[in-house]
Amino acid sequence: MSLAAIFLSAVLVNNFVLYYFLGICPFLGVSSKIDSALGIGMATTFVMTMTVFVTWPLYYYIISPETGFNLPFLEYVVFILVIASLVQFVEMFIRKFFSHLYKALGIYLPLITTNCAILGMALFMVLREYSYIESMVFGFSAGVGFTMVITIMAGIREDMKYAPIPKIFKGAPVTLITAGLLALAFMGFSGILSP
Amino acid sequence: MIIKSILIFGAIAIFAGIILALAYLKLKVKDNPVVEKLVDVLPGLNCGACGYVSCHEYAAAMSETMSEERAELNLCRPGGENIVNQISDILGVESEGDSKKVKAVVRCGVKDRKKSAIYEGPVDCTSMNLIGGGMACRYGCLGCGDCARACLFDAITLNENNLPVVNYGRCTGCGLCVDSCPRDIITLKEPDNDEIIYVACMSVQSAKDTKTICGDGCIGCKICERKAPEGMFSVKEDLASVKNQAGEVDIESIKCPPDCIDVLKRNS
Repeated sequence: MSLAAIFLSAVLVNNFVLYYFLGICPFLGVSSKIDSALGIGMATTFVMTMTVFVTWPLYYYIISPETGFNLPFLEYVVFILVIASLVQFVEMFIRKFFSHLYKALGIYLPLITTNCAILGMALFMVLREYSYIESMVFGFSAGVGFTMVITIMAGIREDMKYAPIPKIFKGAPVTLITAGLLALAFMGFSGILSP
Repeated sequence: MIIKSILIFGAIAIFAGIILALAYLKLKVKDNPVVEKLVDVLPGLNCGACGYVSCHEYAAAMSETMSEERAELNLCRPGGENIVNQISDILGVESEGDSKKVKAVVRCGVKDRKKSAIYEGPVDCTSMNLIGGGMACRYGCLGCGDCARACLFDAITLNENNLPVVNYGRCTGCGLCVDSCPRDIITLKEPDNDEIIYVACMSVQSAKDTKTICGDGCIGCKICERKAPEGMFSVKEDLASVKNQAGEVDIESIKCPPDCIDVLKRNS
C-alpha cells in the first residue's frame, strides 16, 4: 500500500474517531472551543508519531516472536509504558513553552495516556505489519485525522451555542447526536480504501 | 522466560525513567511559591465549597496578581477565620473578614414514615426519588443517608428513625449534603449565638394532608407566629419558617403541636 493511500485511509476513510470510535473521551471533552481542540489534536498527533517512532523498533527488535526475543505478551504493557512516558514528556514540554494551552487542556492532557486511539494505533501498526516508514506515516495521519475531526466538532459546537436546542437535549445529548451524525457523514468514504 | 521478560521490561522502564528525569531537569517549571504556601495553609480537603475544584486551584486563583481577577480570600468554609487570617498574612492583603459561617440543618422531622408503595431497588435517596420514593410525603426525608455518605467530615449520622442528624461542631457548611439531597431538605443557615432555630418540615401541603400523612409535619397553625416575638416566624402555605431568629424566645414555651421547631446547637 502506498504512503498516500495509508495517509488518506487513516485521515478520511478509516478515521480513528468516527470509524473505529477510539478516543471518544477527548473528542467529547475538549471539543467545546476550536483553540483547545486544535491544541489537544496537535498534542495527540505528536504523541502518536513519537509512539510509532519508539514502539516500532521496540516491537520488532525486542517483543516480536520472529525477529525479537519472542515476548508477545509484553506488547500491551510496553506500549502503555512508552505512551505514558511520552505523555509525561509532552506535558512538561507544553507546560514550559505553552502555559496557556496547558491551562486550557487541563486534565485532558494527562488523559492522552489513556486515550485508546494511541494504543489502538500502535496495535494496528503491528497487526497490519507496516514497515517503519509506513508506520510513521500511519501514526502521523491518525493524529491528523483526530485533529481534523475534533476541530470540526469544536466548530459545530461553537455555533451550536446559538441554536435553539430543546432543553432536554442541551449539553451532552446533543453533542452525542452531533457525533453520530458526523460519523454518518464520514460513512460516505467507507469502502473507498481498505484499512 | 519470566526472568527475561522482567529484565527487558525493567530495562525499558528504567530507560524511560531516566529520559523523563533528564527532561524534567531541563523543562521544569517553578510553581509560584506563594501558591505552595497557600496550599499548605488550606485544609486540603478539596470539598469544593469555595467554588474551585481543589484547594490547589483556589490557592492559584487567590494568588493572581491582578486584583480584579483574584479570588476572594474568605471563601474557604471548612477553614474559618483562622485560615483567612493566615492567607491574608501570606498575600499581604487585608482580609475581608471571616468566611460566612453556615451550618446545615435538616428540615424534616419525620419519626414514622408512611409508605405509599413498596420500593425495591438501590438503597439511595437519588434513585428512590426518581420514582417518587414510595413515601406518602412528597417533601420529607427518604432516609437512605445520601447526605451522610456525601459528608467529608462525618458530621451527619442517621438516628434511629433514619433521619440525618447534623453534628454542629463538625459541620463546616461546605454544602455537599445540600447538593446530595434529591428533595432539597437540607439548607445552610447562619447560626446566631451558636444556635440555629429552624422548622423541621418542608411540606407545603394543606394542613389536613400533612396531618394524615405525617404526625410530625408543620400544619401551619400559626401558634409560633403568635407566641414568638413579632417577625420571627412566618407561616405561608401552611408551612412555618424562621424569618429572623434574633428575638429572645424559649422554644419550649411555644408548644408547637407537632413539635417541629428544632434547634441545632453546639454539643446537641
